[in-house]
Amino acid sequence: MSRPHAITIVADSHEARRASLWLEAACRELAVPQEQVDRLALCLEEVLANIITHGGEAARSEPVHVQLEVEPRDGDRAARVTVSDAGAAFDPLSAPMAPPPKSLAEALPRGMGLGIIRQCSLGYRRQGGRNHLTFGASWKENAHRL
Amino acid sequence: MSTPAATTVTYEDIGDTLRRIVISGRLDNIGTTEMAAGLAEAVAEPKRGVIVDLTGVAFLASVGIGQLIATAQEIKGRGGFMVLLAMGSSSVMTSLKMASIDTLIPVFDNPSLAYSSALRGF
Repeated sequence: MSRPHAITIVADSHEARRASLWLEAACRELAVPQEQVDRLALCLEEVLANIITHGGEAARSEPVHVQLEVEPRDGDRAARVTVSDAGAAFDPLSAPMAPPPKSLAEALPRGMGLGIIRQCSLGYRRQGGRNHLTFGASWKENAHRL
Repeated sequence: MSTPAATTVTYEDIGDTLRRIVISGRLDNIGTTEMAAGLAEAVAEPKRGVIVDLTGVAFLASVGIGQLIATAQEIKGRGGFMVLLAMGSSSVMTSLKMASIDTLIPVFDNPSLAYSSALRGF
């Protein structure tokens, strides 16, 4: 297992961008393929956007921790990102979600983040007054290297 | 980590009926806010076909996709048609597919096909 890479931010848009750029750089350092980097960076952005928008005062006043680990898994490799925040309890894996729009006319210009988060999520727990959401991506060991 | 440049919007007309709008930068919350006024200005003049060129976008979050949806709806509401141009294997294409927006707004990785689709309206 690799040494965890971690960053601590506050919940605002500028810090979310800083975390996203950090994750991209850390993934490159750990030779995560670009497609998986893109998925992880997008998921992180959506998770942090949820915390900023819906986490409340507690989320904004306490630090948000982001940790990245890359490890072997079943002969492949996997990257796991865990985000911990002190905001209102929120499990994106069980939260209600609107059905996908069938046409452009039906589409709403918001609310897509939850669907994106669910595609990457591995698990959620509420512990010590904080949300802990883990999401990840895996790839073949012999996939292209950066 | 260097600070990304500001997200920008430029546009050019191709004949009388087609406009190509080029967005460059990161379309996260900050970048989407930065480019919103420029995008609104770029689509203010009605054109039959609009191509939004995302090949210079390094990152596309759902907030940016929401802006693209609202813009496509506005253009369609006045009888126009909007398509997206993005590189086939890019973070932008990954975002569009993960948000399933490629089923709502046509997405091309070939400029010629994007131009003809924007003019045809399908």
